[in-house]
Amino acid sequence: MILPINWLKDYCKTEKKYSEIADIFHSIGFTPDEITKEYIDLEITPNRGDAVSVYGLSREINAFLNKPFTDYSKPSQFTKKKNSIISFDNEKAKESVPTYAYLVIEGPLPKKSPAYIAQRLKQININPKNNIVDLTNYLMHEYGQPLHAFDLEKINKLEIGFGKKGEKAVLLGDTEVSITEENLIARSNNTIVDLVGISGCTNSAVCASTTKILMQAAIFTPSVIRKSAKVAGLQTPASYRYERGVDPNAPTYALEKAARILEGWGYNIVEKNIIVNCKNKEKTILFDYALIPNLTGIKVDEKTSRSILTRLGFKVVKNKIIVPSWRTYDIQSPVDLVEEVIRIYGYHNIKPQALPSNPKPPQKTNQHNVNELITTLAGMGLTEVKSTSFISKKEASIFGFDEKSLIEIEKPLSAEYVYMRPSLAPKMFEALSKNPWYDKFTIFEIGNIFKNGQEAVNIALATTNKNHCLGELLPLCDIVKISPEAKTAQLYKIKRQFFYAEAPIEKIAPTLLANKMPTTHNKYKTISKFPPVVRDISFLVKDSTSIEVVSRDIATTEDAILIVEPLDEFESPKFEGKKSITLRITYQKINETLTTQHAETLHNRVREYLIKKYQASIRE
Amino acid sequence: MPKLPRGHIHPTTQLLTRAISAMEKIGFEVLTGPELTTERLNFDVLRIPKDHPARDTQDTFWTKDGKVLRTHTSAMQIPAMAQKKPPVRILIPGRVFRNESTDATHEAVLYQLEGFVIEKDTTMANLIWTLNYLLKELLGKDIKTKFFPHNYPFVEPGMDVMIKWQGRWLEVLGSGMIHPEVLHNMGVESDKWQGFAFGIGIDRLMMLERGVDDIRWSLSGDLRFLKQF
Repeated sequence: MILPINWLKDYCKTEKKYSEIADIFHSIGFTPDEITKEYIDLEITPNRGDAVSVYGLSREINAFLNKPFTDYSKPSQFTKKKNSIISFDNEKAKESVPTYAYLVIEGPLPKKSPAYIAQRLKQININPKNNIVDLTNYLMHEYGQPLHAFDLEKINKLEIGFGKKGEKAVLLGDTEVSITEENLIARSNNTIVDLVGISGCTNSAVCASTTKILMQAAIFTPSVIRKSAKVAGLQTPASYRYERGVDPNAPTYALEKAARILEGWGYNIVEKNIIVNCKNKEKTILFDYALIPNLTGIKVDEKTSRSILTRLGFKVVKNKIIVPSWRTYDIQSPVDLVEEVIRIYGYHNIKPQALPSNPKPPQKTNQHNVNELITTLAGMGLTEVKSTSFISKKEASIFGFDEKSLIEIEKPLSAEYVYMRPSLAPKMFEALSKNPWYDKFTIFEIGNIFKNGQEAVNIALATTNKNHCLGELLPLCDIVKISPEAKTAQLYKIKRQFFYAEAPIEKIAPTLLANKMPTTHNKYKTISKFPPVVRDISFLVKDSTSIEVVSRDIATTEDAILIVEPLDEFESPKFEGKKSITLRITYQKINETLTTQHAETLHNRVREYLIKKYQASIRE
Repeated sequence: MPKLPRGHIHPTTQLLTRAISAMEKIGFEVLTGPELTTERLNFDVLRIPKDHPARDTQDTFWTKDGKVLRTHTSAMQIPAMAQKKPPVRILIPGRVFRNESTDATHEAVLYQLEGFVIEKDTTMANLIWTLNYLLKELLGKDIKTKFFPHNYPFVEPGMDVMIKWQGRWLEVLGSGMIHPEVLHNMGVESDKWQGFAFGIGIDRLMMLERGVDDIRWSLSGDLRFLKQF
């Protein structure tokens, strides 16, 4: 919701700077998405239909600024005429339109709007059209009440009801929509002239020759407009507001303001009518003020609480709180009132308070087994991968999964999201294909799989290492040898032999839980779009030198070094008090392919560095 | 077994593990549950009704047979309480799904950590303390936090948490006091018990912690990513 600062100041007398105003809105529950000197764009949560307007937001900030509440919804003289232009097809249509108010207006031809209206519309990204249409848009943004102007010479009646399958309507902006039984529409002479609550139709729009106008301001049931907009695949500023709930009293005060402005422009208000199908019931909540400290942990005295509620427009009679008409959609119970008080009082005033110590110590659960398993496997030299939970149709067919046993996604966004994975294999194979530059490695994944309507946790292991120890790890599982000729290997372009095993986690977890590995705190380094070069280096150093320290040290010597891995470490009598260390270094260049020659230069520099700093003798 | 070379644990797992052990220290127990759930558990019982725009805030994967891939770990609140009686302190880590196109900051498959407490007189002051504790454990003791009102249908009052990270304030999690209707749906008497709930997006936190600039690395299976941690 774009809130122009100068427009807000029509309703809120404050000298605060735009940035302070943004901070205030943030502190009371409206997150600013964009802040400029001219306007603030605020996120309005779906429960706050009342705040999708300049006036609505002014009520909020005035409550915060401790200004007395000013009600602009003055009583107005709308007649309840019996034989109105408006009629309803049936009870269901009637129930969908609790209130329908309108003006009948006669006067000069539409012309350009005054500058202040045109400018403000531009600020909220609406192109000015003519003074009548602009006024409806202007007042919608000001009060949150959608208005619509019909050319009364193009319609003679408005019959409100639900659509029929096969009907079509051409909306403002020349969009054609197919109508269904879910769409609330208005007809005149059996022609659809309005997609109610969403958009008017071109056939009844105000144009350059219009001299008689019906200006509508109505309340429609939020869920009816939501369904209608959904099936039409549309969201308009009007439907957005109706879905969230428009103040039941807004039709008359919005039209009242329209009438005053129109009269100022030389128009005659011929009729001011209102049809009330369903009276807005006043909502009263019995409120125990002790709920505030009980729930929040801070004391707000009763006087302050009452003052906050009153400033927000609630009527407070001791512990009876009457909800203002514009909040009837979201204020339903005492806890809602606690939030109202505390958000204006300020969340920052709540002092943190430690949780009391828990008498029940936590129990060991399955999650512990999984975590232990992951640390154990990593400690043994395996690397954990995570992959998406979806597979494509192509993957399903290559792996020969029975489509009937798979869980299929409704209207998938892309071909990658067609089925839930019934096995970890497709993405494990993909991971193997993604790492051609590393020769011997072993990876694993633990994740949920979906098969025959059942969900289970599987573990999968894959290795390119011929001397693998999968047999030791998985004594109870089948280990499959996959050759590059296999259909699956070809799909993923895996050009080497590897071994794969997968099993339900509970089958192997108990045999696996042993030595652990600490977590790291390494920062991420940007990975090049170009392939890396991987080189090993072996050297002799003093026995006291730590392989981890040397690895971390070398990683900082060149920008082109992405990863340094300790690969091997051993002592031998023939080294005379020294030990042998082997490191594996992944080199890359960010903006281009790293050539073998350049990699050799870099590798030489590492050799020289090791010799100089650690008095290493290079082996190789 | 050979000692070297050492393997690597996915950075998201590492962060989740640290979060879990920090929370276990203050008496939370860990539960897990299915990723595939129902409309009822993911939405209805959490006060996100069918014909309400609150549904739009979470793009949902539906299966052909009408089930829902959970859009948040809060879908586990009610199943968790089917096995438990208050007082409880529960932690639920797991995958959640958002049906939207992926880019550097959006993934369809994400990790969340849900936590909730139901006791006699748990307050927002306790919630704020708990979140400060957890964020300090994860991101360092100097981390600065701010708390703002925000509406989530299943909590009231609702609260968003921002942290100051490299000079900028970032929103990292949503939380609040569990709504009495949700307590009722859990089978808990809301006049006797009250509590708080929070949900943290773990991927985002991992990216901040490690300085990762593209979320898609997380599920890439690329060893150039995984070997860094």
